[in-house]
Amino acid sequence: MKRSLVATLILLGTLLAAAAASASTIRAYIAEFTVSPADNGNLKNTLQRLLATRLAGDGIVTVDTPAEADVIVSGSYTTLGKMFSLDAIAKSAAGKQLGTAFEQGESMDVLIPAVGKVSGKLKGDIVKQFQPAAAALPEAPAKAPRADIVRPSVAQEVIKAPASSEIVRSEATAGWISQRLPGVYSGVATWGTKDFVTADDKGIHLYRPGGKLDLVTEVILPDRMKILALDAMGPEANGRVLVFVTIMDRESISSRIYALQNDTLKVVAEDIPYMFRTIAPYGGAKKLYAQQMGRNDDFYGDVYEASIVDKGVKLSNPIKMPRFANIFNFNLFRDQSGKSYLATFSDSGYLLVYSDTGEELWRSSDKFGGSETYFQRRDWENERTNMTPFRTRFIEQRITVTEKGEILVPQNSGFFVLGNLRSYSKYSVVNFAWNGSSLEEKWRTKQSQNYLADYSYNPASKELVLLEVAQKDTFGGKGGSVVRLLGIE
Amino acid sequence: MSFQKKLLAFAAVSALSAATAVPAMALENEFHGMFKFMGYQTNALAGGDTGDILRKDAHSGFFAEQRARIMYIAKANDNLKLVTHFELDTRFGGIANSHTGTSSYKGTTGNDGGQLDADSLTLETKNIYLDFNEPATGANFKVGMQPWADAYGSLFLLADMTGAIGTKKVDNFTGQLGWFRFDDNTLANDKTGPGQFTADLIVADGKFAVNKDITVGATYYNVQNDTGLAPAYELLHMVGVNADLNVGPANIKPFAAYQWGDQNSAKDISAYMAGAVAKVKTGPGAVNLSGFYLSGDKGGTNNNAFQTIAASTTYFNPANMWILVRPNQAINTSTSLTGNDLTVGGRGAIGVFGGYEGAMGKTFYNANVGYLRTAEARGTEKKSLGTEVNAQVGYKIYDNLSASVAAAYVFLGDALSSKTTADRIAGYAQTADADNPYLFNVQLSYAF
Repeated sequence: MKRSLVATLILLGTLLAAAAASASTIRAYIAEFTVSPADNGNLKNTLQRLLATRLAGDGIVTVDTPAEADVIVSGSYTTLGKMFSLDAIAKSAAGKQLGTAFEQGESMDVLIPAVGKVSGKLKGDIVKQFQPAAAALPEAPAKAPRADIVRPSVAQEVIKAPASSEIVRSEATAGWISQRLPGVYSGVATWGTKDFVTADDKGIHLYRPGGKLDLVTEVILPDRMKILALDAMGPEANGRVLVFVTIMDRESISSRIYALQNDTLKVVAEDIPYMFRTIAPYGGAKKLYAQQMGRNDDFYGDVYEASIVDKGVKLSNPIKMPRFANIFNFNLFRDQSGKSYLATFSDSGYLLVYSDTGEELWRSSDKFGGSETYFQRRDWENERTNMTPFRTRFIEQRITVTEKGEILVPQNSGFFVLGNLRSYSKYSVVNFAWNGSSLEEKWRTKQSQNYLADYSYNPASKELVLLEVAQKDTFGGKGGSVVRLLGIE
Repeated sequence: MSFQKKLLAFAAVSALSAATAVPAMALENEFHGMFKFMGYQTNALAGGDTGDILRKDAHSGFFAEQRARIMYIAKANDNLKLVTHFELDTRFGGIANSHTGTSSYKGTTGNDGGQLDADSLTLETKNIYLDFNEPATGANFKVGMQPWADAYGSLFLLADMTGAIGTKKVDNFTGQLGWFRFDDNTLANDKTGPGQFTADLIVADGKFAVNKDITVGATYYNVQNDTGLAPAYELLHMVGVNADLNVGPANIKPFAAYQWGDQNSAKDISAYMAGAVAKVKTGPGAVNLSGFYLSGDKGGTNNNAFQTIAASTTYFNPANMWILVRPNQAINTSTSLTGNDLTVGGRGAIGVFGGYEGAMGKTFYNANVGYLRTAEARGTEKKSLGTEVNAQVGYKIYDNLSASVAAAYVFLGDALSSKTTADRIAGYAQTADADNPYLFNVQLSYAF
């Protein structure tokens, strides 16, 4: 008993010391000053630096980015006639005002002492008024955003203070959710209207969301066919939508194109030896791409822009795929200077950015993407080694580039990914922006306790169509899927 | 819960979170593995590799065995990984080391944990090799104990061997150059110096993808055997060509090779082989066709027999046979009518095989028929070895777990079952008028 008491005291002491240490330091970010009229000799940076050095100390440290700050100080320098006024305001990260200060004078000679006075007053106010974020927000939580998107800088605001209860309540999940659809779905495609097509191991199904999800029409494929990918283009002037179904039929690609018109799906072409994917490169117009499967290479040669001419496929503008990239897992984006980059997933699931010359520029620290959709090819040369007659190849998730030039990728995670056995159990959709050297996360959707099989982004409505598997098909069960529609702005 | 307990629990949870919050290490762990259970009711096998049992009034009985494989890959990054692969084989009930004077196929009882109370040393090492991409040239290298298969349906060699192999891809061309030392008979610390009694294989392989439907390849293999252990040959060259073609609904893989070299200082080798494997989409499934010809001789002064490294490291998986040719699905017990010697002791062989396979939802099935004979008869021997019919039906319980049952029956040819001694091939035929061998197999297979 005595020993456990001592241990308890030591642990308690350590915890308290850690808590005290963190509580005693306030991290402040000094924003760039606004100077009016025009900036004179880079005054805004000078004032920012002067205030930062004077404000630091007495329990305040200055930090380089607003994201890591508890307190944000913004200031202005205004001249009217001969007089100047130096104003500063300190706010908590949550936006609560903690203190204000101003000094005025006639000549530049008194500007530096004025900065000292302003900083002194602000420092006092900040130390007195600032309370740690959790304790400072017992009031009503911020209204749930339209989409349940977790933005890094706002995240702290929506975590409720564990004031009196140990129960952490989650906000209701945003977006529209369909009824449970029996079966495990693997693909979804949209084309700008509310309708969408989905794929499962039986065939393709056209759905219309309303009060609930209504099945409009469907096509059942022969048992031997496995749908690898589903994409759609259109609608054309006559309202026709082309649906591209990439199909593996007994180890070779035998894709089909369907025309959707007046709520009916008609075969336009079948047994096409191309894999298809529609993407909107650079966040622009959606284009159709095609790639072949080789005898030895699963993804043979370049990815081509494709068009359908007289039921045949016409190829143009080849894009050379860097290592890891293939038709299913790539997209293109530009930086502000107009330079082109290619984003893809590595075999291990890291998000990669390549330059237009094929040089790897950046890779993520976390894994993204992740899919349970795969195809198998007979590999009898390695059968004795692998103890399975097949080589398994997983098809990665889509990468979307939005009209803002930002990147959307899903992140499936959870339970286990072991060899060729994958079982994901939760996901988020993550938004990235390229900052010139790396992809910076801007926001992510709230984690869902389901596996995301596929998704489609509708730029017109700024809506994600998320195809979730709510229950896997275990022995004797069919499994179940749901479709979630989620606005992201 | 008392406050103290709560606090302890909290402290423990905090410590755990701190431990798990450590940033991901650069090393990534990748695991693969498999488990297979096989049960046999048969008159042809007794849980051993030597060869099928061909007896008059052969006894039928049941035995079961299992194999597990664990592959661990330590991946430093996308260009560097260490691959390790282990195997654990067990016959249910264990394997007798010595019973009525017969020794077990594994040699020691310590290598099988199937006996009462299990505990045994069961772990076997299959592969340990470094797999890396060299950044300057972009070439891939594999160095160490690794698997390698020939480009000829494994009729020449499929084995785990120690060596090094480099692969470089330039556009549609893939070139490979490798060296394997599959035997070093030099004693440790031998005063003769290192590398004196060795057997080496040198491999040069080129493959060119003409387009997505046509890949052509050419190879050169060289075997130099200086072990001094009376090898089948001292020097062997083998050149060959192969292709992988898609023609309409069919995929065809033809191959042919020629061998020459020295059996010993007095006798030369001149032999060849040819074969093809085809798969044709038909109905809901596919028709499988395959066949091979291995040259042989009548046992005279010339050696025209197709040479391998060892019978135990040859296969012909596309045959889809269970008894004529060892089954591709086999685990611990992996043998055939001729004890895996498809050259039938230098007589050469002709095999033709056909079958149909398909799937209906989670159910899969296949049925096959095959015929095997020698290419050359020595003396008055007959050529026919046998005709096999087999079928298998399985169910995918999960994506990676399947259960299946199979049956196979062989109508023995005269060369193995004739009542007349002169008809039979000595060393392969075991008794006069041997019963036709058969087996029923039940299997549970899990791979990830």
